[in-house]
Amino acid sequence: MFIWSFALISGITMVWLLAWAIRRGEFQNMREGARMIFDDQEPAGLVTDHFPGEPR
Amino acid sequence: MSQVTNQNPEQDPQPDPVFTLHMAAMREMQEPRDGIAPTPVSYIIMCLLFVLGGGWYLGYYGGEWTANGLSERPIAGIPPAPPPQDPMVLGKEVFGACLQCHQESGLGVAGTYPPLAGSEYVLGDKRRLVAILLKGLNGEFVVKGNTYNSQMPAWEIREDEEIAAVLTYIRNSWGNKADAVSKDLVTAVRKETAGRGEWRAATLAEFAK
Amino acid sequence: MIAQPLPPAIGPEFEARVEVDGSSRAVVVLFWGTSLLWLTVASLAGIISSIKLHSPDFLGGIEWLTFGRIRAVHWDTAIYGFGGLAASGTLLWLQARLCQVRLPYRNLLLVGGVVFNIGILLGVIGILMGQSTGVETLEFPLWAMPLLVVPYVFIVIANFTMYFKKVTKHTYVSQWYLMAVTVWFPILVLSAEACTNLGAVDGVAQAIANWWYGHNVVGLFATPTGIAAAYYLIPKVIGKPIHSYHLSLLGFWSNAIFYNWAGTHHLTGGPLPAWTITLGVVGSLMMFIPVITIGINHHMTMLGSFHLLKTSPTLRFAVMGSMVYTLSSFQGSLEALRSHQEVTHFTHYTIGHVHFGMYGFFAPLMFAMMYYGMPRLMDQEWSSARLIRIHFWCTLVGMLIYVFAMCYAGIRQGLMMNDPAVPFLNIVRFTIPYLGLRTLGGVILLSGTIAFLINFIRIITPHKYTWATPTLLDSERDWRKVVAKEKEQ
Repeated sequence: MFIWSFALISGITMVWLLAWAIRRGEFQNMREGARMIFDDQEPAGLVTDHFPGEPR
Repeated sequence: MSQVTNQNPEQDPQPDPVFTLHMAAMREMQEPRDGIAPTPVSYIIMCLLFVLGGGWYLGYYGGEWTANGLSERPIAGIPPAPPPQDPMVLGKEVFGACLQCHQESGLGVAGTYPPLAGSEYVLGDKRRLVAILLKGLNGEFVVKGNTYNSQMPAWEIREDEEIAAVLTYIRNSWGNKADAVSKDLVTAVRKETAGRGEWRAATLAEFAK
Repeated sequence: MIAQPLPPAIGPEFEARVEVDGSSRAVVVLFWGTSLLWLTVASLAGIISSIKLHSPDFLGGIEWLTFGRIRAVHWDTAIYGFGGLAASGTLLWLQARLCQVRLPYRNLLLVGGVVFNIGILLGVIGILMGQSTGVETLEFPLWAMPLLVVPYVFIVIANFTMYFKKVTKHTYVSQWYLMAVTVWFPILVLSAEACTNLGAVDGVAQAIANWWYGHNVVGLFATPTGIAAAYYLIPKVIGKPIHSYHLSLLGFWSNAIFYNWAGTHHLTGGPLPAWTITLGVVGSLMMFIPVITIGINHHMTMLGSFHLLKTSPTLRFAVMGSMVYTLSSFQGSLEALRSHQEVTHFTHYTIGHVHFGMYGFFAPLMFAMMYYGMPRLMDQEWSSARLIRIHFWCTLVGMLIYVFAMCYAGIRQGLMMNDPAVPFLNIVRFTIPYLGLRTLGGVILLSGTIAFLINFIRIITPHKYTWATPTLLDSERDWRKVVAKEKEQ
């Protein structure tokens, strides 16, 4: 009984979260989503990691 | 700006080393890549194929979807009965438990354990024989004219099939020749003697009058 | 050639990032640093248990170090000590960065980090004293578990606080994974503890719960954290957005749907209703979908940037991790099939696979996270490029030796065990050289870890062994300067 109600609650939560994400527009504007890790100091196109103290 | 879009930095006789090193990264910025490459159709077909394959596997190895279905393959129709085992072979195997007293020769131990070879109890009434094996026998007992006084243990815990087989075996070994003991007879005698203790010579005679 | 220091170019986003990184410094360094200590402990325990397999007399007289105890210590310190702490540090750092908010509850999290470490220490002592529960992956005695669960609750709360205070509009794909981990992991631990050690169910159901957990702790805790790290690091380091954001979300949701079912494939051949095992096998097979999705995405993002592997330590580990993710997941999905298990079940093959996943995929991504994060957190550079190289090659070579030895020996072992004509002792003798090779692989991995530990200790020692400026600033300034110069001309 406990397991069934737990499964039901989890399932409903999952569906609700998916609906919430869609309503928030998480699945739109993918371009912005993909680019959000870059900023003015580390823009797309910039390599940001090197071995320390070595020529790049 | 001209050098930024220059696709061939080698043409420059003395390119700025730092600039050359960053050429690749800077070219990247010009490309129309936005992280929104569409999902290819082949990819969707692949996903569907996996789902189909998974569904097939689930149905094929579902084990009838019951809590007791321990076998993953569905069993088609009535399962074939296991081939009946030769009672002489099974009987010989079961006889391993009897060896110590009655000996491999079936002759027993003179004065202590009665013989099976030629024994009137072995070759005689099958119902009585089954009863002895199921319940055991204690006290003085006469076989082939000799008196023995020892204990035959009860073998109720063995399967009906095993008891039938071992009795068939002893009735057809060491020169004995008699008809087979059926499993049904063992079942019947087991039912008949339920709740009784071990036999005495007298009670056995009473039982198999 | 060392880049000369230049006056910092400061913009508002840069200031915000520095502030965010500064806020998470103490907590994240605590989590990452202690995770490396536990990795060392786990490697030592693993090497001891590995040696015992080919030389049974090794440390044979010490009951605290008998195989049953030291192997449990090895796995539990690896998954909770190293995995739990490294993943939590990664989670807090990445989430703060991606939400662009300061890390909340810093003191609470610091205390939590210390308590978590004490919990693992006590759990390890409990196992060594013989109080192991005997349930695989949940061997820690019950009295140690609250010390692990309560700090994790702090982490979950901090994670959601950051998410709901976030400045950014979008949720990045890494955040999906990180948030999912904080939802899944507490449910996993609590349900599994309830079903096994607390005895909510009996018998076969306990075994199911045990392996549901055992598989999911890797699949729904370590794996999503690793993928989150890869999704952040690969685009960030090479400076290209992820190839397809569509695919990354598809990958996330298919992973969420399918992974959970896979655990029961560990019980193939056991006295379980056949459909539970079949469900596990199908769940594992379905994992091909997210794995291919994620693999395509990472590979297509990397395409054209493979030359950067020469110069970027972070990228080396991240690419190694994401490639092994694809390979080990393929291996795992196939391994789940009944026809495959007929040979490899109960052989060394499974152990090879686990290490392929944990040390070939998860650990390198955590290392990559640390290589990328530490200079930004500490405002100073890694002191030695040579130590980084040693670490990388030790990790790669040690892992390959280990995985090859175990998988090859496992297949041969399984084939021989299926042949009734081969005496069991011959099979044992056959595996001994490969068990030796495994010890060798383990020692190489440990050497790499020690190299990393030295570098790590140096980077948290204030400004003793350092290059003039952190890489995160000067490379970019060089680049900007060049563009500006070109524009002027």
